[in-house]
Amino acid sequence: MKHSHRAVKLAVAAAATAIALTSLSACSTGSEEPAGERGALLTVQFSGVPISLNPALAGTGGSTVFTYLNYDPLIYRAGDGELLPDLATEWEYLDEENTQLELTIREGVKFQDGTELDAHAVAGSMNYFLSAGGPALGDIGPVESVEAIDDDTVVVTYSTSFPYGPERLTQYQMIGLIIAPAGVADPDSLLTQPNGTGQYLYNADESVAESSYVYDRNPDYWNPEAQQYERIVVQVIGDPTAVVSAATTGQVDFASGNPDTAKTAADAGLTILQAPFFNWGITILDREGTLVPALADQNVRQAIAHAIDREAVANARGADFAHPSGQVANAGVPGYIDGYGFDFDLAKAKELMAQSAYPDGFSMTLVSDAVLDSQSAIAQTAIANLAEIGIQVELQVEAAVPSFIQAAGSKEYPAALWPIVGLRASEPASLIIGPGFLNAFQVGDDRLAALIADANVGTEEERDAKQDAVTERSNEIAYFIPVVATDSIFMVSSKIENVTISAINSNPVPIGPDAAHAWRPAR
Amino acid sequence: MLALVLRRAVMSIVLVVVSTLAIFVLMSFVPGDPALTILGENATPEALERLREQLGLNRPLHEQYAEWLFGALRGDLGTSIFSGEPVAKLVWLRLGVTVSLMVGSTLVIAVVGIALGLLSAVREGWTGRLLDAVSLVGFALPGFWIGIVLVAMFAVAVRIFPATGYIPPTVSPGGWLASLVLPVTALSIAGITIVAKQMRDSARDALSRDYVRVLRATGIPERRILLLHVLRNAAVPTTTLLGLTAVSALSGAVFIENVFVPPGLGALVTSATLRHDLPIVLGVGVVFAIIVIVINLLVDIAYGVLNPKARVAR
Repeated sequence: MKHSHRAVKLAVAAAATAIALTSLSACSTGSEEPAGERGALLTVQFSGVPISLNPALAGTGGSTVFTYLNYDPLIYRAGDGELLPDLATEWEYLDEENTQLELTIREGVKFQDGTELDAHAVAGSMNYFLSAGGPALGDIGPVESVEAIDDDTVVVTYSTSFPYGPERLTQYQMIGLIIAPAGVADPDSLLTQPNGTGQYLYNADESVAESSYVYDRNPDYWNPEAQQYERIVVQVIGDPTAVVSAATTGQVDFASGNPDTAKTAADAGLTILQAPFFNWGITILDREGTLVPALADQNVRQAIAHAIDREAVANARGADFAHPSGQVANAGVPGYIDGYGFDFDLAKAKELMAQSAYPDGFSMTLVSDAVLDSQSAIAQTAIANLAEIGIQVELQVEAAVPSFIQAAGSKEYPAALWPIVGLRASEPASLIIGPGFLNAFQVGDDRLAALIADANVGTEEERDAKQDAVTERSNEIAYFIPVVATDSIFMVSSKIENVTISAINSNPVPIGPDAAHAWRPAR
Repeated sequence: MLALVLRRAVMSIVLVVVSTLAIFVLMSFVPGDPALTILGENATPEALERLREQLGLNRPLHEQYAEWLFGALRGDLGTSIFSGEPVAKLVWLRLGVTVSLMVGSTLVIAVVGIALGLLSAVREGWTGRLLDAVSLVGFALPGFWIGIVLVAMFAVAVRIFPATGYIPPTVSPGGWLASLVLPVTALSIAGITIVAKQMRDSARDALSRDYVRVLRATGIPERRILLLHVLRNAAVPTTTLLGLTAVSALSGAVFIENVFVPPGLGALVTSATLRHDLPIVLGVGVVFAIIVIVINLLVDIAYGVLNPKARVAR
C-alpha cells in the first residue's frame, strides 16, 4: 500500500502546484509607480559583470554605472557630451602649454562614511588611482602628479602638453571618481563597502554579486534634487535574447541592444537610441614582418585595405546600425574627413599586390574575439575577398575578451580584428602606435607620433584642424585598416525619460549632478 | 542502511578532493590570466607581476592547491579574486536557485515521465506511437532552444510568467514558483521523454510476466496491479535514469541560466571560468561534487527500498 499512497500524495502535490501556478501573474522587477516626484525603482541592464567595485580597479565605458552610482566624479560628462561641474566647481589650465590643470573642489560635501570632502582627500584618491595600476590607467592622459595646493584647490600636472585633461576626469575615467581617505587606506574594503560621495549607496545585503547590484538613495547626498529614484538596480544579463525579453516585458527599463534585438524591441514599443561608437578595423601587429614578412610591405597593407568590401560588412552587421569605415576617426569627431578614406577597389588591390614583393600572395592568421564581434560577422566578411588578391587568412577566434587581449599581445599573431574608439583621430591613432596590445611588436611611426603631439598644441580650433593630418598619415602607413563603424544601441522603456546619447557620449548613465541631466520617471 | 551511508560519506570526501584536484589541473590549461583581466590591456609587465605575486598566482601549482585544500578542509573556501566576496557566501546565495531548478525538474520528470510511460504501456496503439514520436522530438530539441520559445510564448506574447530572473521563496512563495515554471519546463522536456520511454518498456515487460497473469486471475483490480506491482518492478531501472537526469540537470542548468538569467551556480561558474576566478570555480566544483554524491546515495537508498534483493547484495 505504501507506494500507492505516495503516488496519491504526489498527484495531489502536482495538482496543487498547477493550480497555484495558473493563478499567478508575472512579477515585474522593472520600474514601479513613482513615489511623489521621485521614482521608486529604476532597473538597468548591463551585459557583463564588473571587473571591480573599486574605481581604481574598475573598467571604463558602460561599466561605469557600477561605480559611478557610489562615487561622484570631479567633472560630469552629459549625454550630449558637454562637461559640467560636479565635485570640481571650476577648472582651468594655469599655463599656455596646457600642462597644469587647476580644479576648485566643491564645499559642503561629505563622503558616505561622514568625513568631509576637501582637496587633500581628492588628491589622495587620485594618487591612489595612479598607484593602483587598474585597467583605466591608460585612459587618463600623461598625468605626472596630483597635488592639493590648499583645502579647496587641486593641481594636476601633465608631463606633456595635454589640453584634454578635464574630459579625462569625468565619470568614465575612474580617476575622476573620488574615494574617501578611509577607503584609500583600506582598498580591499571598497570591494564590498564602496565609500564615495555618490548619490547612491551599494546595498551588499540585497545584491547578488555577479548577478544583480542594488543601490539605495543616499539620504545625506549634497544635492538631493538630483536624485530621481529611491533605488537603482543594475541587472547583469549577457545573452541578447534574454536581454530583449527582459526589456520588452518591463523587467528592465534600460538595456543594451544589437541590430537583431533592436527591431524586436522597437516593435514592442520601446525607444531605440543609437550613436556611433566602435570603429572596427584590422590592426597589423607584425609591422616589421617577423611572422609574416609580407606585412612589412606598405603596398601589401594598402592592398588589404582596398580588398575589403565594407558595404558587405556593414550589411552583415545590420545596415541600420553599421556604416562602412575608411578612416581612423568616427564620423562627427575632429579628424574625420568627409569623402576620404579606403574604399573597396579589388582592381586597385590586385595592382598594389602586383607592385609588392609578394605578387603571388601569402597566408596569415587573424585573431578576433567572439564577444564583441558576435558570430564573427565582421571578421568573416572582412576577410572574404582577401583570397582574391592571393592572401589566405585563417581566423583564430578567442572566446573571451581577456583571452583575446592576451593573444593579440602575445606576438604570436600578425594581425588582430578589434574596435577602437576615440573623441578625435589622434586618440585611436595613439593606441595603434602606443605601448598596448594593439602594438604588440612595439613598432611605432615617428611622423604619426609627431603629428599627434602637434595636434595637442594651439587653440581648440587649431588643434581640431590638425587632426586631419593624423587621419591621413594613419591611412598612409595602414597599420590600422578601418572596416566598419558600429553604433551603440540601447532599448529604453517608455516609463523613463531624459535619456540622451551622442557621438561624444555613447554610454549614457542614469544619474547626473542635477535633475536636468538625470533620467527620471516619465511624467 | 546506516553502513551504506557511512561508507558513502567516507568515499565522498575522497571523491570531492579528487574532483577539485582535477578542476585545479584542468583550469591550469585554460588560457587566461586574472591579473590581466583586473589590470587591463594597458598594464605594465611590472604591475602584472606585482599583482600575480599579491594574488599568489606565481607560486607552484601544488603549493596553491595545498593551501586551498587546507583552507577548504577548515571550511574556508577562500574569496573571489574579483568581487572580494567570500566564495562560501557567493555559493550559498546561489545554491537555492540551482537546487530549486534541479529538484523541480527532477520532480516534474518523475511525475510526468512515469505517468506518460504507464499510460502508453497500458494503452497501446496510437497513444504509444504518438509518445514515441513526441519522445524523439523532445529528445532532439536542445533545452535552451525550448527555453527561448517558452519565453517568447509565455512571458513576452502572453505575459503569464516572468521572462527572466528568480524570486527567492522567502520574498514571495508564489513568485518563486512562477519564476521556476519556464526554466523547469525547459530543463524537463528531454528528461520526461527518456523516462517515459524507459517506463513504458519496463512496464510492458512487467505486464507480460506470469505473476501479473496470476494476479489478474485472482481478481485483483487492474489499477491496483498497475500501481502496486507493475510500477514497483518497473521503477528500478527508472530510478537509475532519474538519478542520471538529476545530474544532467546540473549541467543543463548552466545553459538554461543563460536564457532565464536566474542567479544560479551555472552562471557563476561560467563567468568565473572565463575570468579565471579559481576560488569560485573550485567552490562550485565542491558543491557540484557533493550534489552528485548525494543524488547517487539517494538512488542507492531507493534501490534498497524498491528491491529487497539489492539490500541483501549490499
